[in-house]
Amino acid sequence: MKKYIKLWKQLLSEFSGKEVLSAFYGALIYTSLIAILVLATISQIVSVYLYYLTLWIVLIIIVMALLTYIFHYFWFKALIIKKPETKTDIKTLFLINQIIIDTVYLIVGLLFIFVFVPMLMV
Amino acid sequence: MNELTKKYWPFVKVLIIPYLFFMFILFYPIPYYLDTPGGITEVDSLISVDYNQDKEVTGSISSTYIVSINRPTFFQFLIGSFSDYNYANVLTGSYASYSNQEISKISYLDKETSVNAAIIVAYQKAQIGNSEINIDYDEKVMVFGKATYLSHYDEIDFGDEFLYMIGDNDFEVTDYKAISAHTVLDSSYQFFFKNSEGETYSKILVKDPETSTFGITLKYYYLVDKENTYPRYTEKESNIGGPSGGLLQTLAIYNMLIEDDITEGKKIAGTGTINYDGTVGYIGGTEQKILTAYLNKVDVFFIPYRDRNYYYDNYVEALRACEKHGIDPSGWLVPVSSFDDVLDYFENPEAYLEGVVLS
Repeated sequence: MKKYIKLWKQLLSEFSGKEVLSAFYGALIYTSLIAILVLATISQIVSVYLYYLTLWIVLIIIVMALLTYIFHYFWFKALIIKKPETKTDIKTLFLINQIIIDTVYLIVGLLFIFVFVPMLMV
Repeated sequence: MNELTKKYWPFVKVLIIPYLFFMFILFYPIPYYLDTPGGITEVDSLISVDYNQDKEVTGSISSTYIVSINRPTFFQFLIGSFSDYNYANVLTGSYASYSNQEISKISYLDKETSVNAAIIVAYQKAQIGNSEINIDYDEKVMVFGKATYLSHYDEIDFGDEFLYMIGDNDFEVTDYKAISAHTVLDSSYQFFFKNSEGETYSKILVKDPETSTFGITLKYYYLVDKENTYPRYTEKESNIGGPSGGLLQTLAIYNMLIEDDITEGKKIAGTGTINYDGTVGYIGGTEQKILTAYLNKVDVFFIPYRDRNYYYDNYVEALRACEKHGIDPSGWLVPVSSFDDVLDYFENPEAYLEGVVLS
Protein backbone atom coordinates (compact mmCIF):
# COMPACT_ATOMS: atom_id res chain seq x y z
CA MET A 1 0.00 0.00 0.00
CA LYS A 2 2.90 2.33 0.87
CA LYS A 3 4.42 1.64 -2.55
CA TYR A 4 1.12 2.36 -4.22
CA ILE A 5 0.75 5.74 -2.51
CA LYS A 6 4.39 6.55 -3.22
CA LEU A 7 3.91 5.80 -6.93
CA TRP A 8 0.83 8.03 -7.07
CA LYS A 9 2.75 10.88 -5.41
CA GLN A 10 5.60 10.40 -7.87
CA LEU A 11 3.21 10.41 -10.83
CA LEU A 12 1.51 13.58 -9.62
CA SER A 13 4.87 15.27 -9.14
CA GLU A 14 5.80 14.55 -12.76
CA PHE A 15 2.39 15.22 -14.33
CA SER A 16 -0.01 17.98 -13.50
CA GLY A 17 -3.49 16.97 -12.26
CA LYS A 18 -4.93 18.31 -15.51
CA GLU A 19 -2.65 16.06 -17.59
CA VAL A 20 -3.52 12.93 -15.56
CA LEU A 21 -7.23 13.75 -15.81
CA SER A 22 -7.05 14.46 -19.56
CA ALA A 23 -5.35 11.07 -20.10
CA PHE A 24 -7.95 9.47 -17.79
CA TYR A 25 -10.93 10.91 -19.74
CA GLY A 26 -9.39 9.89 -23.07
CA ALA A 27 -8.92 6.33 -21.83
CA LEU A 28 -12.45 6.32 -20.39
CA ILE A 29 -14.04 7.43 -23.67
CA TYR A 30 -12.13 4.93 -25.81
CA THR A 31 -12.75 2.10 -23.35
CA SER A 32 -16.45 3.02 -23.19
CA LEU A 33 -16.73 2.65 -26.97
CA ILE A 34 -15.42 -0.91 -26.66
CA ALA A 35 -17.32 -1.63 -23.43
CA ILE A 36 -20.75 -0.61 -24.84
CA LEU A 37 -20.33 -3.06 -27.71
CA VAL A 38 -18.91 -5.90 -25.63
CA LEU A 39 -21.35 -5.58 -22.72
CA ALA A 40 -24.39 -5.21 -25.01
CA THR A 41 -23.27 -8.36 -26.83
CA ILE A 42 -22.79 -10.31 -23.61
CA SER A 43 -26.07 -9.12 -22.09
CA GLN A 44 -27.92 -10.36 -25.19
CA ILE A 45 -26.12 -13.71 -25.11
CA VAL A 46 -27.02 -14.01 -21.42
CA SER A 47 -30.69 -13.22 -22.14
CA VAL A 48 -30.89 -15.99 -24.75
CA TYR A 49 -28.84 -18.59 -22.88
CA LEU A 50 -29.94 -17.72 -19.34
CA TYR A 51 -29.68 -21.37 -18.25
CA TYR A 52 -25.88 -21.01 -18.32
CA LEU A 53 -26.11 -17.94 -16.06
CA THR A 54 -23.34 -18.94 -13.66
CA LEU A 55 -20.98 -19.47 -16.59
CA TRP A 56 -21.89 -16.05 -18.00
CA ILE A 57 -21.24 -14.34 -14.67
CA VAL A 58 -17.76 -15.88 -14.64
CA LEU A 59 -17.31 -14.67 -18.24
CA ILE A 60 -18.54 -11.18 -17.31
CA ILE A 61 -15.98 -11.03 -14.47
CA ILE A 62 -13.23 -11.95 -16.96
CA VAL A 63 -14.51 -9.41 -19.53
CA MET A 64 -14.67 -6.67 -16.90
CA ALA A 65 -11.09 -7.48 -15.94
CA LEU A 66 -10.07 -7.23 -19.61
CA LEU A 67 -11.89 -3.90 -19.99
CA THR A 68 -10.07 -2.66 -16.91
CA TYR A 69 -6.81 -3.73 -18.54
CA ILE A 70 -7.74 -1.93 -21.79
CA PHE A 71 -8.69 1.20 -19.86
CA HIS A 72 -5.35 1.23 -18.00
CA TYR A 73 -3.50 0.50 -21.24
CA PHE A 74 -5.07 3.58 -22.90
CA TRP A 75 -4.42 5.68 -19.79
CA PHE A 76 -0.79 4.52 -19.75
CA LYS A 77 -0.37 5.24 -23.51
CA ALA A 78 -1.86 8.72 -23.15
CA LEU A 79 0.49 9.55 -20.27
CA ILE A 80 3.55 8.16 -22.09
CA ILE A 81 2.71 10.17 -25.23
CA LYS A 82 2.47 13.29 -23.07
CA LYS A 83 5.82 12.68 -21.34
CA PRO A 84 7.92 9.89 -22.87
CA GLU A 85 10.78 10.70 -20.48
CA THR A 86 8.75 9.98 -17.32
CA LYS A 87 10.59 8.08 -14.57
CA THR A 88 7.49 6.92 -12.64
CA ASP A 89 6.85 3.18 -12.81
CA ILE A 90 3.34 3.72 -14.23
CA LYS A 91 3.02 0.04 -15.22
CA THR A 92 3.40 -1.11 -11.62
CA LEU A 93 1.09 1.63 -10.39
CA PHE A 94 -1.63 0.66 -12.84
CA LEU A 95 -1.10 -3.04 -12.15
CA ILE A 96 -1.88 -2.44 -8.46
CA ASN A 97 -4.88 -0.34 -9.55
CA GLN A 98 -6.15 -3.19 -11.71
CA ILE A 99 -5.70 -5.78 -8.95
CA ILE A 100 -7.80 -3.63 -6.60
CA ILE A 101 -10.56 -3.07 -9.19
CA ASP A 102 -10.56 -6.74 -10.32
CA THR A 103 -10.89 -7.87 -6.70
CA VAL A 104 -14.01 -5.71 -6.40
CA TYR A 105 -15.41 -7.27 -9.62
CA LEU A 106 -14.68 -10.73 -8.26
CA ILE A 107 -16.47 -10.03 -4.98
CA VAL A 108 -19.50 -8.50 -6.77
CA GLY A 109 -19.58 -11.45 -9.21
CA LEU A 110 -19.52 -13.99 -6.40
CA LEU A 111 -22.24 -12.05 -4.60
CA PHE A 112 -24.35 -12.28 -7.76
CA ILE A 113 -23.76 -16.03 -8.10
CA PHE A 114 -24.48 -16.92 -4.48
CA VAL A 115 -26.81 -14.16 -3.24
CA PHE A 116 -28.46 -11.92 -5.83
CA VAL A 117 -29.27 -14.45 -8.57
CA PRO A 118 -31.06 -16.89 -6.21
CA MET A 119 -32.91 -13.87 -4.76
CA LEU A 120 -33.88 -12.36 -8.12
CA MET A 121 -34.94 -15.58 -9.85
CA VAL A 122 -38.12 -15.96 -7.85
CA MET B 1 -7.50 12.67 -24.94
CA ASN B 2 -6.13 14.36 -28.09
CA GLU B 3 -2.97 12.23 -28.01
CA LEU B 4 -5.02 9.05 -28.06
CA THR B 5 -7.22 10.33 -30.87
CA LYS B 6 -4.15 11.22 -32.96
CA LYS B 7 -2.61 7.80 -32.32
CA TYR B 8 -5.73 5.69 -32.93
CA TRP B 9 -7.54 7.78 -35.56
CA PRO B 10 -6.58 5.44 -38.48
CA PHE B 11 -8.10 2.48 -36.57
CA VAL B 12 -11.20 4.48 -35.67
CA LYS B 13 -11.74 5.45 -39.33
CA VAL B 14 -11.53 1.83 -40.48
CA LEU B 15 -13.73 0.46 -37.67
CA ILE B 16 -16.47 3.09 -37.53
CA ILE B 17 -18.72 1.52 -40.23
CA PRO B 18 -18.48 -2.09 -38.89
CA TYR B 19 -19.01 -0.64 -35.38
CA LEU B 20 -22.21 1.17 -36.35
CA PHE B 21 -23.42 -1.89 -38.30
CA PHE B 22 -22.87 -4.13 -35.28
CA MET B 23 -24.65 -1.63 -33.04
CA PHE B 24 -27.64 -1.73 -35.40
CA ILE B 25 -27.69 -5.55 -35.21
CA LEU B 26 -27.49 -5.31 -31.43
CA PHE B 27 -30.31 -2.84 -30.88
CA TYR B 28 -32.80 -3.15 -33.76
CA PRO B 29 -35.83 -5.25 -32.66
CA ILE B 30 -37.64 -7.61 -35.02
CA PRO B 31 -41.32 -8.71 -34.77
CA TYR B 32 -40.62 -12.23 -33.50
CA TYR B 33 -40.59 -13.96 -30.15
CA LEU B 34 -37.90 -16.27 -28.88
CA ASP B 35 -38.46 -18.96 -26.23
CA THR B 36 -35.40 -20.41 -24.49
CA PRO B 37 -34.97 -22.69 -21.45
CA GLY B 38 -34.88 -20.84 -18.13
CA GLY B 39 -34.70 -22.38 -14.69
CA ILE B 40 -36.68 -23.67 -11.76
CA THR B 41 -37.57 -21.63 -8.73
CA GLU B 42 -38.64 -22.98 -5.36
CA VAL B 43 -42.18 -21.87 -4.56
CA ASP B 44 -41.40 -21.26 -0.88
CA SER B 45 -39.18 -18.35 -1.96
CA LEU B 46 -42.34 -16.73 -3.41
CA ILE B 47 -45.03 -17.69 -0.91
CA SER B 48 -44.79 -18.68 2.72
CA VAL B 49 -47.64 -19.77 4.98
CA ASP B 50 -47.53 -19.15 8.74
CA TYR B 51 -48.48 -22.69 9.63
CA ASN B 52 -46.75 -25.98 10.55
CA GLN B 53 -43.55 -24.01 11.08
CA ASP B 54 -41.84 -26.95 12.81
CA LYS B 55 -42.45 -29.31 9.92
CA GLU B 56 -39.31 -30.44 8.15
CA VAL B 57 -39.61 -30.44 4.36
CA THR B 58 -36.93 -32.78 3.00
CA GLY B 59 -37.39 -32.14 -0.73
CA SER B 60 -38.33 -29.14 -2.82
CA ILE B 61 -41.26 -28.00 -4.95
CA SER B 62 -40.38 -25.66 -7.79
CA SER B 63 -42.18 -23.99 -10.65
CA THR B 64 -40.45 -23.84 -14.02
CA TYR B 65 -39.85 -20.69 -15.99
CA ILE B 66 -38.61 -20.17 -19.51
CA VAL B 67 -37.16 -17.04 -21.03
CA SER B 68 -39.53 -15.50 -23.53
CA ILE B 69 -38.06 -12.61 -25.48
CA ASN B 70 -40.63 -10.53 -27.31
CA ARG B 71 -39.22 -8.61 -30.27
CA PRO B 72 -35.63 -9.82 -29.92
CA THR B 73 -32.87 -7.88 -31.63
CA PHE B 74 -31.27 -9.25 -34.82
CA PHE B 75 -28.34 -10.42 -32.72
CA GLN B 76 -30.50 -12.26 -30.16
CA PHE B 77 -32.43 -13.90 -32.99
CA LEU B 78 -29.18 -14.94 -34.68
CA ILE B 79 -27.50 -16.43 -31.61
CA GLY B 80 -30.79 -18.04 -30.58
CA SER B 81 -30.81 -20.03 -33.80
CA PHE B 82 -27.51 -21.73 -32.86
CA SER B 83 -29.20 -23.98 -30.31
CA ASP B 84 -31.84 -26.67 -30.80
CA TYR B 85 -33.12 -25.79 -27.34
CA ASN B 86 -34.53 -22.45 -28.52
CA TYR B 87 -37.70 -21.74 -30.46
CA ALA B 88 -38.44 -18.62 -32.51
CA ASN B 89 -41.58 -17.59 -34.33
CA VAL B 90 -43.40 -14.52 -35.61
CA LEU B 91 -45.42 -12.51 -33.06
CA THR B 92 -49.08 -12.98 -33.91
CA GLY B 93 -52.52 -12.08 -32.59
CA SER B 94 -53.04 -9.30 -30.08
CA TYR B 95 -49.47 -9.68 -28.80
CA ALA B 96 -48.19 -8.30 -32.11
CA SER B 97 -49.86 -4.96 -31.37
CA TYR B 98 -48.78 -4.77 -27.71
CA SER B 99 -45.58 -3.09 -26.62
CA ASN B 100 -43.06 -5.12 -24.61
CA GLN B 101 -44.12 -3.20 -21.47
CA GLU B 102 -47.76 -4.13 -22.07
CA ILE B 103 -46.84 -7.79 -22.56
CA SER B 104 -44.88 -7.68 -19.28
CA LYS B 105 -47.89 -6.17 -17.52
CA ILE B 106 -50.22 -8.88 -18.85
CA SER B 107 -47.69 -11.50 -17.78
CA TYR B 108 -47.55 -9.98 -14.27
CA LEU B 109 -51.37 -9.94 -14.04
CA ASP B 110 -51.42 -13.57 -15.18
CA LYS B 111 -49.03 -14.46 -12.38
CA GLU B 112 -51.02 -12.53 -9.77
CA THR B 113 -54.32 -14.21 -10.67
CA SER B 114 -52.51 -17.56 -10.82
CA VAL B 115 -51.09 -17.15 -7.31
CA ASN B 116 -54.56 -16.25 -5.98
CA ALA B 117 -56.06 -19.29 -7.73
CA ALA B 118 -53.28 -21.51 -6.30
CA ILE B 119 -53.97 -20.24 -2.77
CA ILE B 120 -57.73 -20.79 -3.12
CA VAL B 121 -57.39 -24.33 -4.52
CA ALA B 122 -54.71 -25.38 -1.99
CA TYR B 123 -56.59 -23.96 1.01
CA GLN B 124 -59.87 -25.53 -0.11
CA LYS B 125 -58.17 -28.91 -0.52
CA ALA B 126 -56.39 -28.72 2.83
CA GLN B 127 -59.63 -27.53 4.47
CA ILE B 128 -61.17 -30.97 3.83
CA GLY B 129 -58.93 -32.58 6.45
CA ASN B 130 -58.54 -29.58 8.74
CA SER B 131 -61.47 -27.35 9.71
CA GLU B 132 -59.08 -24.80 11.22
CA ILE B 133 -58.11 -23.71 7.72
CA ASN B 134 -60.32 -21.03 6.19
CA ILE B 135 -60.30 -19.24 2.86
CA ASP B 136 -62.39 -16.32 1.66
CA TYR B 137 -62.22 -14.44 -1.62
CA ASP B 138 -63.97 -11.83 -3.75
CA GLU B 139 -64.92 -12.15 -7.37
CA LYS B 140 -63.77 -9.31 -9.60
CA VAL B 141 -63.56 -8.51 -13.31
CA MET B 142 -60.46 -6.89 -14.77
CA VAL B 143 -59.28 -5.42 -18.04
CA PHE B 144 -57.10 -8.11 -19.57
CA GLY B 145 -56.86 -7.13 -23.23
CA LYS B 146 -57.13 -4.03 -25.39
CA ALA B 147 -57.56 -3.80 -29.15
CA THR B 148 -55.88 -0.98 -31.03
CA TYR B 149 -59.28 0.58 -31.78
CA LEU B 150 -60.34 0.79 -28.11
CA SER B 151 -61.42 4.34 -27.21
CA HIS B 152 -59.28 5.94 -24.47
CA TYR B 153 -56.65 3.22 -25.02
CA ASP B 154 -54.00 4.97 -22.92
CA GLU B 155 -56.34 5.92 -20.09
CA ILE B 156 -57.72 2.41 -19.48
CA ASP B 157 -54.95 0.27 -18.03
CA PHE B 158 -54.46 -3.49 -17.95
CA GLY B 159 -55.58 -4.79 -14.56
CA ASP B 160 -58.13 -2.00 -13.96
CA GLU B 161 -61.30 -3.36 -12.41
CA PHE B 162 -64.51 -3.27 -14.43
CA LEU B 163 -67.35 -2.11 -12.18
CA TYR B 164 -70.38 -1.69 -14.45
CA MET B 165 -71.61 -0.01 -17.61
CA ILE B 166 -74.78 1.79 -18.61
CA GLY B 167 -76.45 -0.24 -21.33
CA ASP B 168 -79.56 0.26 -23.46
CA ASN B 169 -82.50 1.94 -21.70
CA ASP B 170 -80.10 3.00 -18.88
CA PHE B 171 -79.79 -0.57 -17.65
CA GLU B 172 -76.81 -1.00 -15.32
CA VAL B 173 -74.80 -4.02 -16.49
CA THR B 174 -72.50 -5.54 -13.87
CA ASP B 175 -72.01 -8.96 -15.47
CA TYR B 176 -69.53 -8.40 -18.29
CA LYS B 177 -70.89 -11.40 -20.20
CA ALA B 178 -74.20 -9.53 -20.56
CA ILE B 179 -72.62 -6.44 -22.13
CA SER B 180 -73.22 -7.44 -25.76
CA ALA B 181 -76.88 -8.21 -25.07
CA HIS B 182 -77.41 -4.73 -23.60
CA THR B 183 -75.49 -2.68 -26.15
CA VAL B 184 -77.58 -3.15 -29.27
CA LEU B 185 -79.30 0.22 -29.80
CA ASP B 186 -76.37 2.61 -29.75
CA SER B 187 -72.71 2.76 -30.76
CA SER B 188 -71.25 4.37 -27.63
CA TYR B 189 -71.77 3.56 -23.96
CA GLN B 190 -70.47 4.66 -20.58
CA PHE B 191 -68.21 2.21 -18.73
CA PHE B 192 -67.06 2.49 -15.10
CA PHE B 193 -63.68 1.21 -13.91
CA LYS B 194 -61.48 1.30 -10.82
CA ASN B 195 -57.75 1.80 -11.27
CA SER B 196 -54.89 0.28 -9.24
CA GLU B 197 -54.96 3.26 -6.87
CA GLY B 198 -58.61 2.57 -6.03
CA GLU B 199 -60.00 5.58 -7.93
CA THR B 200 -63.22 5.10 -9.87
CA TYR B 201 -63.43 6.60 -13.35
CA SER B 202 -65.77 6.38 -16.32
CA LYS B 203 -65.14 6.42 -20.06
CA ILE B 204 -67.39 6.53 -23.09
CA LEU B 205 -66.42 3.57 -25.25
CA VAL B 206 -67.34 3.56 -28.92
CA LYS B 207 -67.99 0.38 -30.87
CA ASP B 208 -65.66 -0.35 -33.78
CA PRO B 209 -67.78 -0.16 -36.98
CA GLU B 210 -66.05 -3.17 -38.53
CA THR B 211 -66.15 -5.62 -35.62
CA SER B 212 -69.07 -4.10 -33.67
CA THR B 213 -67.05 -4.55 -30.46
CA PHE B 214 -65.61 -2.09 -27.96
CA GLY B 215 -62.12 -3.61 -28.20
CA ILE B 216 -61.78 -4.46 -24.54
CA THR B 217 -61.23 -7.94 -23.09
CA LEU B 218 -62.54 -8.52 -19.57
CA LYS B 219 -61.80 -11.51 -17.38
CA TYR B 220 -63.11 -12.89 -14.09
CA TYR B 221 -60.66 -13.48 -11.28
CA TYR B 222 -60.82 -14.24 -7.58
CA LEU B 223 -58.92 -12.11 -5.12
CA VAL B 224 -58.16 -13.71 -1.74
CA ASP B 225 -59.59 -11.80 1.21
CA LYS B 226 -56.54 -11.94 3.48
CA GLU B 227 -58.43 -10.66 6.53
CA ASN B 228 -60.77 -13.63 6.53
CA THR B 229 -58.23 -16.26 5.56
CA TYR B 230 -56.46 -18.54 8.03
CA PRO B 231 -53.56 -19.29 8.26
CA ARG B 232 -51.98 -16.07 7.05
CA TYR B 233 -49.60 -16.19 4.14
CA THR B 234 -46.94 -13.85 2.74
CA GLU B 235 -46.33 -13.31 -0.93
CA LYS B 236 -42.97 -11.91 -1.93
CA GLU B 237 -42.04 -9.77 -4.92
CA SER B 238 -41.22 -11.74 -8.03
CA ASN B 239 -39.54 -11.07 -11.36
CA ILE B 240 -41.13 -14.01 -13.09
CA GLY B 241 -44.50 -13.55 -14.75
CA GLY B 242 -47.09 -15.79 -16.35
CA PRO B 243 -49.66 -18.25 -15.03
CA SER B 244 -47.84 -21.52 -15.70
CA GLY B 245 -46.53 -21.87 -12.13
CA GLY B 246 -50.09 -22.25 -10.79
CA LEU B 247 -50.12 -26.03 -10.37
CA LEU B 248 -46.80 -26.20 -8.53
CA GLN B 249 -47.70 -23.17 -6.41
CA THR B 250 -50.88 -25.02 -5.41
CA LEU B 251 -48.89 -28.11 -4.51
CA ALA B 252 -46.30 -26.19 -2.48
CA ILE B 253 -48.97 -24.23 -0.55
CA TYR B 254 -50.90 -27.44 0.08
CA ASN B 255 -47.71 -29.05 1.40
CA MET B 256 -47.28 -26.10 3.79
CA LEU B 257 -50.81 -26.61 5.12
CA ILE B 258 -50.82 -30.37 5.74
CA GLU B 259 -48.94 -32.22 8.49
CA ASP B 260 -47.09 -34.72 6.27
CA ASP B 261 -44.32 -33.85 3.85
CA ILE B 262 -45.33 -35.09 0.41
CA THR B 263 -41.96 -34.29 -1.16
CA GLU B 264 -40.19 -37.20 0.63
CA GLY B 265 -36.79 -35.76 -0.26
CA LYS B 266 -37.54 -35.44 -3.97
CA LYS B 267 -36.80 -32.50 -6.23
CA ILE B 268 -40.28 -31.84 -7.61
CA ALA B 269 -40.98 -29.44 -10.44
CA GLY B 270 -43.58 -29.01 -13.13
CA THR B 271 -45.73 -26.65 -15.09
CA GLY B 272 -49.42 -25.96 -15.74
CA THR B 273 -51.96 -23.32 -14.88
CA ILE B 274 -54.47 -24.02 -12.13
CA ASN B 275 -58.17 -23.31 -12.57
CA TYR B 276 -60.49 -22.50 -9.66
CA ASP B 277 -62.10 -25.95 -9.90
CA GLY B 278 -58.69 -27.62 -9.49
CA THR B 279 -58.25 -28.62 -13.12
CA VAL B 280 -54.91 -28.01 -14.80
CA GLY B 281 -54.69 -25.81 -17.89
CA TYR B 282 -52.59 -25.80 -21.05
CA ILE B 283 -49.29 -23.91 -21.11
CA GLY B 284 -46.94 -22.69 -23.83
CA GLY B 285 -43.22 -23.36 -24.29
CA THR B 286 -43.47 -27.08 -23.40
CA GLU B 287 -40.24 -28.05 -25.15
CA GLN B 288 -38.21 -25.38 -23.34
CA LYS B 289 -39.77 -26.35 -20.00
CA ILE B 290 -38.93 -30.03 -20.49
CA LEU B 291 -35.35 -29.03 -21.34
CA THR B 292 -35.22 -26.80 -18.26
CA ALA B 293 -36.38 -29.71 -16.09
CA TYR B 294 -33.84 -32.01 -17.74
CA LEU B 295 -30.99 -29.51 -17.27
CA ASN B 296 -31.96 -29.09 -13.61
CA LYS B 297 -32.12 -32.87 -13.01
CA VAL B 298 -35.53 -32.93 -11.33
CA ASP B 299 -36.93 -36.19 -9.89
CA VAL B 300 -40.57 -35.54 -10.81
CA PHE B 301 -42.02 -33.20 -13.42
CA PHE B 302 -45.77 -32.61 -13.67
CA ILE B 303 -47.17 -31.68 -17.06
CA PRO B 304 -50.77 -30.89 -18.12
CA TYR B 305 -52.53 -33.79 -19.82
CA ARG B 306 -55.97 -33.92 -21.33
CA ASP B 307 -56.07 -36.33 -24.21
CA ARG B 308 -53.19 -38.06 -25.95
CA ASN B 309 -55.04 -37.79 -29.27
CA TYR B 310 -55.22 -34.04 -28.98
CA TYR B 311 -52.35 -32.53 -30.97
CA TYR B 312 -51.78 -29.56 -28.68
CA ASP B 313 -51.79 -31.58 -25.49
CA ASN B 314 -48.81 -30.60 -23.34
CA TYR B 315 -48.00 -34.21 -22.45
CA VAL B 316 -47.93 -35.19 -26.12
CA GLU B 317 -45.72 -32.18 -26.85
CA ALA B 318 -43.47 -33.14 -23.92
CA LEU B 319 -43.06 -36.71 -25.20
CA ARG B 320 -42.25 -35.32 -28.64
CA ALA B 321 -39.64 -32.97 -27.09
CA CYS B 322 -38.08 -35.87 -25.16
CA GLU B 323 -37.83 -37.91 -28.35
CA LYS B 324 -36.31 -34.97 -30.26
CA HIS B 325 -33.59 -34.38 -27.65
CA GLY B 326 -32.97 -38.03 -26.72
CA ILE B 327 -34.36 -37.72 -23.19
CA ASP B 328 -35.92 -40.76 -21.49
CA PRO B 329 -39.27 -39.56 -20.02
CA SER B 330 -40.02 -42.70 -18.01
CA GLY B 331 -40.36 -42.37 -14.27
CA TRP B 332 -40.11 -38.60 -13.93
CA LEU B 333 -42.53 -37.10 -16.47
CA VAL B 334 -45.97 -37.22 -14.86
CA PRO B 335 -49.08 -36.17 -16.82
CA VAL B 336 -51.87 -34.66 -14.72
CA SER B 337 -55.22 -33.12 -15.58
CA SER B 338 -56.18 -31.90 -12.12
CA PHE B 339 -54.72 -31.20 -8.70
CA ASP B 340 -56.39 -34.43 -7.51
CA ASP B 341 -54.24 -36.30 -10.05
CA VAL B 342 -51.13 -34.84 -8.41
CA LEU B 343 -52.28 -36.07 -5.00
CA ASP B 344 -53.16 -39.47 -6.51
CA TYR B 345 -49.63 -39.69 -7.88
CA PHE B 346 -48.13 -39.14 -4.42
CA GLU B 347 -50.44 -41.82 -2.97
CA ASN B 348 -48.94 -44.46 -5.24
CA PRO B 349 -46.56 -43.22 -7.98
CA GLU B 350 -46.11 -46.58 -9.72
CA ALA B 351 -49.82 -47.33 -9.91
CA TYR B 352 -50.54 -43.82 -11.16
CA LEU B 353 -48.00 -44.00 -13.98
CA GLU B 354 -49.18 -47.48 -14.97
CA GLY B 355 -52.70 -46.08 -15.19
CA VAL B 356 -51.52 -43.39 -17.59
CA VAL B 357 -49.89 -45.98 -19.86
CA LEU B 358 -53.08 -48.07 -19.93
CA SER B 359 -55.47 -45.17 -20.61
